[in-house]
Amino acid sequence: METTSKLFLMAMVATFDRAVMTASTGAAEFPSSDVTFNEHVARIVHDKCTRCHRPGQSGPFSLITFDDVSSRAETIRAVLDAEYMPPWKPISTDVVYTNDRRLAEEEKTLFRRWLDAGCPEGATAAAPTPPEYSTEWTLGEPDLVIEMPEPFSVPADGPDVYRSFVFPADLPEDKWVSAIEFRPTARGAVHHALFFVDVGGAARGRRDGDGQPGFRGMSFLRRGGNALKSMPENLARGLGGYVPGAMPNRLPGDLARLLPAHSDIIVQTHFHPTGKPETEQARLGLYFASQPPKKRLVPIQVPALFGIGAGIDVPAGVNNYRVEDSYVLPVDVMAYEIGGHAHYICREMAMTATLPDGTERHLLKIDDWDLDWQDQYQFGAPIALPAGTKLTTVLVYDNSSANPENPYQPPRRIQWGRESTDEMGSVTLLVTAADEADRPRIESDVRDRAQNSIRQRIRSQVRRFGGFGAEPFNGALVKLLDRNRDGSLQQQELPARGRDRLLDLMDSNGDDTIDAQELEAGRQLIRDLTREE
Amino acid sequence: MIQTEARVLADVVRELAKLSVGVAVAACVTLSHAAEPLAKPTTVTPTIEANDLYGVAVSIGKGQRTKLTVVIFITTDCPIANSYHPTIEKLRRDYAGQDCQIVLVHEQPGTTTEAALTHAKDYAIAAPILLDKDHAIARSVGATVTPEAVVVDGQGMIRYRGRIDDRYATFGKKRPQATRHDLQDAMVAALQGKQITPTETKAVGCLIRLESSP
Repeated sequence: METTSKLFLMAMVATFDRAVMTASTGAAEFPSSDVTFNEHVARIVHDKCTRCHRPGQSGPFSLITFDDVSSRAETIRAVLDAEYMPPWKPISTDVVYTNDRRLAEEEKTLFRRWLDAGCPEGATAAAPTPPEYSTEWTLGEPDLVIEMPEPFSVPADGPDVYRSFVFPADLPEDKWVSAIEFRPTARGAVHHALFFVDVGGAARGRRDGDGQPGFRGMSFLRRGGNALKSMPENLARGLGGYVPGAMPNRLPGDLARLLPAHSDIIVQTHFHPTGKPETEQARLGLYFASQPPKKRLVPIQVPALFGIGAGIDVPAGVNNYRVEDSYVLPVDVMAYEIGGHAHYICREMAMTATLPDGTERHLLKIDDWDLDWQDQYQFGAPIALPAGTKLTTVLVYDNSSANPENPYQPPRRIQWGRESTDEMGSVTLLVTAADEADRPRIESDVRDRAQNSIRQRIRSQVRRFGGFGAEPFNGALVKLLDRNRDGSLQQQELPARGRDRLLDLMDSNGDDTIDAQELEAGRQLIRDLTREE
Repeated sequence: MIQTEARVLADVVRELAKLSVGVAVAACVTLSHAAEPLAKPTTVTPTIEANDLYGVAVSIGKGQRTKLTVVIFITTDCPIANSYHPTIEKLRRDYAGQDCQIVLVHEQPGTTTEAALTHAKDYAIAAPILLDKDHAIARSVGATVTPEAVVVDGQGMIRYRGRIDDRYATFGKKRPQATRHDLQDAMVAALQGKQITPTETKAVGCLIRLESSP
């Protein structure tokens, strides 16, 4: 009798076991208990998460051990479902990128099954060895490490901070840079950084008057002779950027970017306050190519200069404002890398190449743009684009109140500008001329485009500030504005609404004053630019 | 013989009871993934009695020291929860004189007193801090996210549960500043004896894994 009862009990247990299993796996065909951390999940985590989620890196916590992962399993499921982690913005097209960090669908399925099974650890013998990182530098010991000369204090709370810092390089000879790795100390707070060359170290020693190193804004781009002419050149000298989670890549083959002798590197850093005060004193690791590249990289920005002349002017409340611009390649090129830039209300960003035979290649397609994750995407194999290929960039902006990232609630009209609350928008394709002899042709073509977009910008601004009229900054107007009668226009004498834009256009030496010489240079340039054509 | 059978039968019943708990837990796990959450507690029963990191007794529920207790769930390393400490500290200061206490509760398994003290120092936290080793506090007030806030009145009634404000719309979608201050609004309404609307919002942040062992 006892035996019968026990059998009955065992049968009941078995039945309920199955019931439990069915309840927890839903419609899964397999029992979930076959998925364990050690046998299946650890490998995925080590491959796709640990690079950032380990001590000393940008991830807020480590994802290495069973405890690390199982205690955060629900959060991990949520961020996978929301496609928030691993951070990766381009949607799949026919183009493959070498640095794609996403989990494959089968990896996501395995992870979900493991969670449904209650996160079993599995046999220790099956546990893979966590990846080892021999040096803090992903690409190995750099050829040169430059540290920020002074620390910068990031406040615990408040709005995001944008700050440019000079990293003194001042090398005696030209160098070719094949990769840059950025190591911030305020890792949780640094959201992205962009690297620029400061030719001749013009911004060396420059700082805002707030007792902290570095300066606001990007006015260093207008240095080097004439403000308007130097901007395209200085931007073309960009050295790339950093976002957390991005693996620094060496440029393919012998490609490298020029760091001219006696130049510095300016890093424009975007900080998110983290809730506690942080100290930033980043280091840059530079990896040099042993010799100049056989072919030089040419950045093609569509629209040019972050959309300065593209007429970006988004009415308040509009959720589907579209900007389109295209450029036809004058020569055959090879394309290596692509990346975009826009601010908070941009939602979609795409660059499509239409080849002369009508073939379309979707070089970049982002349908949920996020300024925080602007990245460079390296093509799996260089893409050949023949002369006559049309590169079309489409940008879509959402300036409605339904866009949580809208800097203004209620929404306001948002126009092109350098502040993060203004907008920009462009996609940059890095190419080489298929035949290096054609390079000057595409370089000058790209430069002309940039000049043209500035010309369009000036026209629209001249129309807007009607008073600056046919003779921009004529004597009468300057006299009117120049309240202290010193012949220069100080920052506080400029009309508040156009102040930053005017300084960007006119203030070549970055002292926040438009002096008599700069006024005359500006007038002359505007005359030149509007006369050409 | 009959006695033996009876005992075996009792065993069977006990086993079945355990199993149905198992099924219920499994069902909870499954359901918690669905859009519709399970019914959440409306009162704190029994009153939560615990010592904070500094050895001071804290009670949450009927008989608590203050008219209102705001319980906010955190971890040492949830970036969204951490970004709220300046806001939480400001709320604590602003309402300290109004018969209202804010209590922070750690939900990451394995958080030691030492780690929590270091974290409190880093983020300049002045509120009492509890370690919720087996998620008992989170369960008893129905919290599932860090940072999630629960407002408990002197009768042990849960008056508000959800986000602190609407700064985070979802993962990676952050407003430049909050446009709704749901927790503060709830605190003000509760202190003035007015109706709170809404009484429940969705907190955005890290998920508390309730079924995990400490």
